[in-house]
Amino acid sequence: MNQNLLIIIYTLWIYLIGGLSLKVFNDQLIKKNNLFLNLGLSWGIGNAILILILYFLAFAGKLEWIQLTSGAGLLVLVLIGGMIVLMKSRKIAWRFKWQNWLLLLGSLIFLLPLIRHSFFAPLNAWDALGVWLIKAKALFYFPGVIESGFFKESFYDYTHQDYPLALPLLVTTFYRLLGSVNDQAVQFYLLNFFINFIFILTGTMIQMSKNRIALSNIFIITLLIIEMPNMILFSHNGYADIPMAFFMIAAMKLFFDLFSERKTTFNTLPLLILMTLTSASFKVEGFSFIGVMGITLLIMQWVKPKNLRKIPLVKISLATLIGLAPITVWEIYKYKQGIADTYAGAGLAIVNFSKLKMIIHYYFNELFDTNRYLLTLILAFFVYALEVLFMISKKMIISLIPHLIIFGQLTAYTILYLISPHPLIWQLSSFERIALPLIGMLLMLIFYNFNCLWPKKNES
Amino acid sequence: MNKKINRIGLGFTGIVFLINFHYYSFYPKDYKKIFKITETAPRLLTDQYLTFQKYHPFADLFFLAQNSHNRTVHYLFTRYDSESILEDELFIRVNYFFYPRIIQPVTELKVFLDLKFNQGDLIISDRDLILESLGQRLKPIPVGDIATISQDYFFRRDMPYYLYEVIK
Repeated sequence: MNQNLLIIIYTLWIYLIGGLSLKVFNDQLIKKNNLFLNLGLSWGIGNAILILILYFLAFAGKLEWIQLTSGAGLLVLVLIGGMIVLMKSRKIAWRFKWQNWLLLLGSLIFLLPLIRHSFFAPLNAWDALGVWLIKAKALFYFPGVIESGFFKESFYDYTHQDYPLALPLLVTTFYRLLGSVNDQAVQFYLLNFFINFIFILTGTMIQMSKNRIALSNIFIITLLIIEMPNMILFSHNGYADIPMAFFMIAAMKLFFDLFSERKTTFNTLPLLILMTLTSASFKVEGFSFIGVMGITLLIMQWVKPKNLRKIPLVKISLATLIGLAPITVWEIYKYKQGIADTYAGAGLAIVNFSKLKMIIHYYFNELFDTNRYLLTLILAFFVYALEVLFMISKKMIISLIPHLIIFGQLTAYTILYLISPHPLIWQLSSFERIALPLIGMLLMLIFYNFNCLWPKKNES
Repeated sequence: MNKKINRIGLGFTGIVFLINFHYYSFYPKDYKKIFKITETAPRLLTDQYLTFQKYHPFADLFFLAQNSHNRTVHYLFTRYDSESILEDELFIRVNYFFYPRIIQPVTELKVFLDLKFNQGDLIISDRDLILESLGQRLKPIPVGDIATISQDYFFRRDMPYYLYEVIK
């Protein structure tokens, strides 16, 4: 089968499976959300479910079950399921405003160079070859993690064998469907994490603006985000940072919903848990995000107590199982096999606070780096800082709780840099990538702050 | 929000967008070099995987790996530094392209030159071996001149590498 056609079908299949799951488990959210948020969440849920299945197959040594025939069979099943669900609510797609479809089309036209690049450019990035996609090859040539021997082979120590497996597994699924290694077309699939990262941001902007900011303005702001060179660079080059960033900002969006909801429904909590946990299936920074999100949720409950009796326990258990099972299985395997942790040796004993000055200096360098972020990030930070000052002056302290997520994650990075046994300069070089979710969060917070400072009149 | 503020906002973000676009426009232009250098028009429904691999700055290494089955491959890696091994472009590509084969690098020239080489063996090296004692037994496999390969934001090759076939 043609490589490009197959990757398009594989990608659409993930949207479909995620969209159907969203429809079945949280129809209310679909109705409340706009087109962009529904697309983004569908992509996230579809991937989260697939990751759970792939981890199971990889540890059972049954990855060989993934073939074009089994994939086609599953596609037919999902299509039948989709038809049944859609027959019950035929107008689902057209319920979204036509302006949103127009905005979607405009954004996709602007993304066209990236889409073409993802189909036709060879894979060439350092970590993609050295860390992530070499593991996808191992899981293509062998039916499972244990069978591959890759993760215990000392020759491959440099690949950070302890890193989570979601990205290699999702890539190897395409290889197995295709029947050969094709690290070129698979970049289109990876690009969809970036596209949905943008969708979540755009969708949040539309939702938070509540028709007060013209769509033309939101469109231009979307383009300002798309054209940042650092985003383009990591959008589809085989690094795991944008996929992780996507899950983090999706979780943050769901936190906004939970935090702002007037009726205590905990409607978005199961999905929030799923998105948060899945971020750790891509990169270890996801673990700090789990901690940060957990603490922020506890603070929210302490400051704005909600009726815990209304927690949807079944849905939360299901979401926790889907999100937690892959990372738990992987951690147990690593522990049993004695796979060395990249941060083994890290500890408070090596904390040297003179490092802190350098770390903060590096953060500001990143913030003001116009080569990587053009003018967008500086201006965004300026607006953000003004809004926060304004909120503090108005004593809107409780409204600042969602800001704990971005500050918590940045603090986690700082602590990691401080206690890491690796040379600081080498460690800090990763900041250009792990800063991507923080940038997404910053942009979302600008619109959240706007909404807090100037609520729509009938809401204030 | 009233229309006036929206218009001011549109004007402001529009200006920032245009300034940014000036720097972004390198991208839509740059990525098209792939099609010029490979002399191939992109077609969505045609498998062009191998064609576009020619654009890779390590394309010759890639094609060597594709055609090296049942042949012994030797690898001289004098730049070896365990602290920054992941930063060595050649090392990660040798391992990636040849996987599942492990090509154990030899890190010292003297040890490498003492190895037993047979006719038909392949050699990957991070230094030119033609002037070494082994040189007369080697036939260089051409490695694309980096000047002919686009060195842009995405595709770079900072250090040279050499490929040989043992001919006697």
